[in-house]
Amino acid sequence: MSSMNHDQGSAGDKYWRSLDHLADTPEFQAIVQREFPEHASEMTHPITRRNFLSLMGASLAFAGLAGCRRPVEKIIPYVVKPEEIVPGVAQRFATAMPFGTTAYGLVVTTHEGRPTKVDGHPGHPGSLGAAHAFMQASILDLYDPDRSKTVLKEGKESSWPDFVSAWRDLYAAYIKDQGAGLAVLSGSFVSPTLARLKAEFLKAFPRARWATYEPVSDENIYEGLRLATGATLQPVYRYDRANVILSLESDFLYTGTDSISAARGFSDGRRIKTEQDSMNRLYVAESTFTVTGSAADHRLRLPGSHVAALALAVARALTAEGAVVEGMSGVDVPSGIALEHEWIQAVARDLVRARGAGIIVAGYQQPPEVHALVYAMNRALQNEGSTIIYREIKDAALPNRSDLAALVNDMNSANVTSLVILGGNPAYDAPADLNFEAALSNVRTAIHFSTHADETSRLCLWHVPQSHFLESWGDVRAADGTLSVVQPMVDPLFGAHSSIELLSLLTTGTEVSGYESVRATWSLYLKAANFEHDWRRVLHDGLLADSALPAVSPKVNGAAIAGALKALMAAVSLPGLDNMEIVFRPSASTFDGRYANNGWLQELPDPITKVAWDNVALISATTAKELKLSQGLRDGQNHQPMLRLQYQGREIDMPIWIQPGQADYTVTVALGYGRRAAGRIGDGVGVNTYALRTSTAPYFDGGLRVARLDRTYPIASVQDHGGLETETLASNEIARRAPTVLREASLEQYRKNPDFASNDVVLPGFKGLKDKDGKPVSIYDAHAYDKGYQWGMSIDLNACIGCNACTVACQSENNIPVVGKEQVLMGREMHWIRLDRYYKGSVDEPDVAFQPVACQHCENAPCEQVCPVAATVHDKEGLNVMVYNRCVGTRYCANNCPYKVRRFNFLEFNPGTSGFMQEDSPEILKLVRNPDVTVRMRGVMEKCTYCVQRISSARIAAKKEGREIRDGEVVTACQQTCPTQAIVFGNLNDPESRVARIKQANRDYELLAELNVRPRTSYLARLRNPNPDLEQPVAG
Amino acid sequence: MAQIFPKWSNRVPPLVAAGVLLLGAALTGFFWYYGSPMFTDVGYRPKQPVPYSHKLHAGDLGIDCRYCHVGAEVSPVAMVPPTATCMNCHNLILTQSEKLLPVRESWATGQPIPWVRVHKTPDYAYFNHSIHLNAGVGCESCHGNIAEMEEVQQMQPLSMGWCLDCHRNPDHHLRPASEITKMNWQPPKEQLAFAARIKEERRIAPSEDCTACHR
Amino acid sequence: MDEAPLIMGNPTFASITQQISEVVENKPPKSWYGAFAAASAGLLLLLIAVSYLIWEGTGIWGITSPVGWGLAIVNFVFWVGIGHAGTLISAILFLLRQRWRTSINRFAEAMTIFAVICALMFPGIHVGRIWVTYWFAPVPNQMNMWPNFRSPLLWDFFAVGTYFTVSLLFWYVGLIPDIASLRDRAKTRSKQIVYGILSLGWSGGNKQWRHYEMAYLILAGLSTPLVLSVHSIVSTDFATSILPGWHTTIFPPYFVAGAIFSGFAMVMTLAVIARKIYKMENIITMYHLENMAKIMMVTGMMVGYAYSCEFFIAWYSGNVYERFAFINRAFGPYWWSYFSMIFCNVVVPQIFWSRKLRTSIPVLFAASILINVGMWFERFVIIVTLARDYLPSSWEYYSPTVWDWFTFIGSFGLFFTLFLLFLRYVPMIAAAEVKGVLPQADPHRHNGKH
Repeated sequence: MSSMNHDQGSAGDKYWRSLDHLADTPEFQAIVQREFPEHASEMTHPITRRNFLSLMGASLAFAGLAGCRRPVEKIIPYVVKPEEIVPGVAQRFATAMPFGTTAYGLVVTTHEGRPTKVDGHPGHPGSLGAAHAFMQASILDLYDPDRSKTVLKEGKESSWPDFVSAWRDLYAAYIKDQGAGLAVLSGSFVSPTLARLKAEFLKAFPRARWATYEPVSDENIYEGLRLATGATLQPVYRYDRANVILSLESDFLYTGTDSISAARGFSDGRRIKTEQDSMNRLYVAESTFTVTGSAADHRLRLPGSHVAALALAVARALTAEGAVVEGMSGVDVPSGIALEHEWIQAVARDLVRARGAGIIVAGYQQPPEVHALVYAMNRALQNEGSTIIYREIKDAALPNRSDLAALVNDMNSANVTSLVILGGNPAYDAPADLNFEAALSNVRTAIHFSTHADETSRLCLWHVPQSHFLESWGDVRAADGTLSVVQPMVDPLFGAHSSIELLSLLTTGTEVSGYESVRATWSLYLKAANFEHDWRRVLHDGLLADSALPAVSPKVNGAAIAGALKALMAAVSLPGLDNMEIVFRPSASTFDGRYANNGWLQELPDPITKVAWDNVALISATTAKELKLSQGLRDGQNHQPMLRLQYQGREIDMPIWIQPGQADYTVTVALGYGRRAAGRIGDGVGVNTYALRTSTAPYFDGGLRVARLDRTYPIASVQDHGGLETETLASNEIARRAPTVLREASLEQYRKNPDFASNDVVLPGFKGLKDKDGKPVSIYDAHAYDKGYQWGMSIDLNACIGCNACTVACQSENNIPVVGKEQVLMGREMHWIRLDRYYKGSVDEPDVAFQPVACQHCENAPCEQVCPVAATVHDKEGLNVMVYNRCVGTRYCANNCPYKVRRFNFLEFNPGTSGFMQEDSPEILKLVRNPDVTVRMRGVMEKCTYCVQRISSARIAAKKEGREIRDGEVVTACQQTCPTQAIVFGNLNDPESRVARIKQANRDYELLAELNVRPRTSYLARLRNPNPDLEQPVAG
Repeated sequence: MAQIFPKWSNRVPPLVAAGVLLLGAALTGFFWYYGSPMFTDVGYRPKQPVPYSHKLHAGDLGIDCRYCHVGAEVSPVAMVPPTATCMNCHNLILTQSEKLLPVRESWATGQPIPWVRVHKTPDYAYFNHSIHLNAGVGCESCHGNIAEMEEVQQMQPLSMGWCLDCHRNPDHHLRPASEITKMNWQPPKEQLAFAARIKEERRIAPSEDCTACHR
Repeated sequence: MDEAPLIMGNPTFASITQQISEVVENKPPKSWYGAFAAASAGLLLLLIAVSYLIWEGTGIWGITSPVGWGLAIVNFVFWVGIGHAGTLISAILFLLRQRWRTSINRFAEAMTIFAVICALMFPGIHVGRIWVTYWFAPVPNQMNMWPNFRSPLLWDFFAVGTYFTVSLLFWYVGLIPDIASLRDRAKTRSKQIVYGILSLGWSGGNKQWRHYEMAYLILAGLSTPLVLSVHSIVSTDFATSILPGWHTTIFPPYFVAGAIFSGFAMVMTLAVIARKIYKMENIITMYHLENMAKIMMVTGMMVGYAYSCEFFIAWYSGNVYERFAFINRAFGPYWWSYFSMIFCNVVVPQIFWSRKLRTSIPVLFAASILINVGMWFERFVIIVTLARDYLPSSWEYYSPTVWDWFTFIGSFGLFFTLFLLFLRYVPMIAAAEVKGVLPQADPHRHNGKH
């Protein structure tokens, strides 16, 4: 906006002498200068469709000029207003987010062409209107100030044209000898256009090598299915149709591919209205507590390396029960492995009983052999075709570790003269034994194409900035094959290019816009006759209707499975202190490291451990005892003992975390930390566990040795600060309170006593004076809540899987700041909705349950009565209102909140908001903010508002049309994103509204009802559905 | 013993006491008025980059407000018109005018015209034009008689108290839809009856809740 | 009480005036300068700590969620408590015709005022946005907003404010005759004028004395209920909340008892020092100190009773949260603060059963210090009850940062700076009243003596 300089001097001369004078001062000019330097580019061509415009930025920057009566503020209008943009009115566009070998449909909210919020696409099979944490947080990546802004050559600033001409020279050379010495290393994708370009590339350069690598992928699943059927297949699960589910270390509800539809289907199978209904049953066998494990009705903990044996035992039991499983002839369960035979029998009986309505699913970390066997089992149970559909894979580049190994060989033997790395960060996440870094040094021309100038870029001759998927044209297939077009929401903020654009440059030596390439591909799917019309429809709908790929019915090759299994079973060993098992798994925050620079995700606590900003080595209580280790509590903070992990001659040091339910003698470590060149957020957070990971055993392996170090390391955990487990007084009290806080029963118990969850007495006084509607009396006159809209919320604990999506969605919707590890250590995290995690039962075999807690909007709100300046009050619609700009910051309300859901801005968590001289946050980070929600300044209290901005806009819309707000018209951010639809919000005054009806259920209860604060949010008690054959006690 | 003070000094203490009380009251009053937008903002009339005359366009030529401020009825923001709107006429009329140079510049270069904001509500107060217009509140109620202004200036304090006054008793500010953009509008005799009726029809019940403006 | 003479030796009116006034007229002893240097260093520390606080935000302290109040509020309640003895000694003992009060009431009152100043500072600085604290005051504004009169914090604002004003007036009125005598003894013109203005033209005439006594009596009557109200209202900050360990009706009386307890302890500490340095043993006699010791013992036992009562009620109520709150106080992570409190406030005062001990200056001095430590811990114990309330998921641990401690130490700097200035420039003992309790002030002193 440097365009604004010329007329500053003339800014007002009638009443505004002081300011006029001020307008010439250098600091004023400086402020004008630094108006969105990043967006100078957009300002120059304002006619393009989604160019950037913000009125907010200006007012923020000029706020610095207090002192005169009123700072001058500019209004920067369009030169030509784009047809479809009405300033101040948000727009929504459909697109899709490519992720591994699947995709999630999105609806993106934009303000004046500025994307501010990502949500699931209701019509898309991959998202069903919901969005998991990674999808929600992807919007922050778009505005990551550390994204690379220019092409780099040998680390020095270069330009796209330079790169293009450089490539043209190479192109000429390689095209001659058919691409000998040319290699491409790409991440996996399922995209018609990319697939087409890949094919054309290999046609242009027949002798070129193409390898596809993903650090975390479904490669083993594809391998297994190929082993069993000889075909490359994509399994599509229909959990909603399953009555009995057996998960062999599959975290299908959370980190698994297509987790949203899985979670939705699974929870639909448990969403019961009355005690008469029935629900599905989930068995989980796993080494590490996962979100899926916490949802299990029966959980079996065992080392990952024993899962294969378990699978075999189950297969045998199934055969014994009459469901004959192929592919086991001559394979025996290795002796010496203790398997819970009773458990196996029960599972097998259950599965056979539920023939055709069961699912056996194995995790991607399990070896192909297991997946092959699982395929055979599902086939034997006639689940194939009903609950599981297999389809062929099209337009995909599937990950393949051996290809990478082969490529590295070629690189080492100097057979690769030019390597193009299409996305990904192999220097960081390639298997340690391949020593990719060394291999890369043998490549003359290495070109790294990525969003950040990261670890790999630093080793390459060229770095080319990659655009964010919200900035670029593309296309993608969902798990079931449904086609979507990825359309940009905004011009590339840093002028980066998409992988499609780069690949077409590589293939043809000429620049083709991504838009053209994608349309070219789609001429296959859309009839030329009315291409434009259909194209616009696809863009509008966000997908091509009925483009899901048909199911195929492959044949099973029993002999192949049996042969492979034999070898596998021979290798199974018994873990012990001197031979521990190391388990690698993607981080719940950074996944494989790609989100390391995303503040929202780094601060998002792990669902189970509740640890943020670090990865820890999970060990079981028993193992810890044998190693003489314990949670290191000091002054309410975890100063965790450090452990040295030695595996195959490599070693790393990590802080431990004692994890209830962890398999003994296993150490689970999360990938995706210890980045060196991620950016200002991700650098140096946690430990890089790729350093131990080999291509032979990417997910788990024995032979780990550990040595305790006499160092400790502070770990920030948002719950159980100070490892309360170690303090008996506290842990006993928690054990006593948990059942009344998070109410839970088994299905039988529920049937015996349908009112088990009713607001039973915890305080004797609760049975005191009652008012007319049977509620305890209050000394203050109750507000009248019988007129107009009365908002309320219901949260179904039976559906909630604790996946944290709501926390990030809320953070995105409500401009919630990131505070950093130091502050989280002090217990100052700002999340408006948190997921409380409670363990029940023994430390070795606990049950885990989650409870989302946000402001409960009490009708007798204790916070309101104590605020000296009436900054928190009730409104007519029953909302507990927090008025930031009235708040003085006594924190009295937070003290007096029994749920402790109020968050205080102890420091300037939103830099530049207090008007003090503190350093301002990067302008670009302001672009992610929701303009409909105030950005809170230092020293004020904040909390959940029931998304009052959404209520307001719905009310205004309704008023303009002269009608009432319809049920379901107001959807809170947490409700909208919830994969399991556990949250329902609406008008309690309308007996027909969904929330009002749900609150009639006998499982409905209010948290801390005995305090008579009358929360507007209530919970549906959790249920488990244990197998009667297994007398495993269920907490309840 | 020698007198230190003259006799009149006996009257000093009570006078001082009285003075302190008066001063306190005066200070409160001073800040109540001079510290509020009633004084600090009303009358704000910055110089605009283009000497655009609302008096000429809205007054003499009688162009409807909504011709330029297209957002007023549909959006929270009334919207300052894009250069294109100016050019709709001025590529034919006064094409050489000295005053319009910045406009033609903007049109040629594509650089927006940096107008200076006159009416501002704080970032934490969410005012919505569309709902007010749809309820029948005239532009004039908040912006004053624009048709009389060469250069636009702020006529009302736009302070919270001022908003509340109208939210508590909107009757005198409600108009028939046809009159919304009319300047210098005089409420008819039966205004109160009309207000009562229209409030019934359009479900107009201005909120006094904090949530009405603060989010 | 008639037997025991209140003033030792056989002073005349003149000698009393001389002894008390010369403290102000002559140069102070070396020790004064030393003390003043130390105190103002503390004050400087306070200024630094508060400036940094305002610059950076309350996050520099250890406060967190759920412990939203930390040392700031602990210190606030602590200082308000100390601010009690002064007005109590002056007003209530005056109304009860406890004539022994005369020797100590003057600087007890001074102590009150300075303590309340320290106290008032803390709620002021502990808020998140100090620049809008004026919203506490019900003044007309363009937002049409009033404060929330249901909030105990607002009650505090008025209660402590009123208490401060009345105490100040009470103290000043008491000062007038003594200032007048300073004026009359003044050597230099400037002193004459300054003291002259301050003494509001006091001439000691009969009529003036009558008015004076009446005014003093009225102010005493006014301040008496305040003594009881202030700390009761401060206690409602906690008592009206819904938090286990706070939500209890015993707080008002037990806070008042505690306040008197700590107040007398502080008076004792100061008196012991002052009488030594300024050789006032004959005026502040062992008799006075002993009386104070007795009061400390009584109030100490009241406080002890309150502690046990809390536990009983927590158990008897059957309220699971209340029970845990108290068990957690005694055996949770903050056990050390709880038992320091019990030792200092309940055990230590018991030594005053022995006449020998309660008449030993060193013992009295040590005990008074310990009691103040104990009363500070009492407030600490109450505040950190926040750390574990209803939902275990939000439990935390509060540990103060250096900035918490700097502010705390600094407040002592402020207090002693003011107090030393008082000793230097104002008669530390109410000469006029002391004269009133001399034998020769009693017109009938010869009767009954043959």
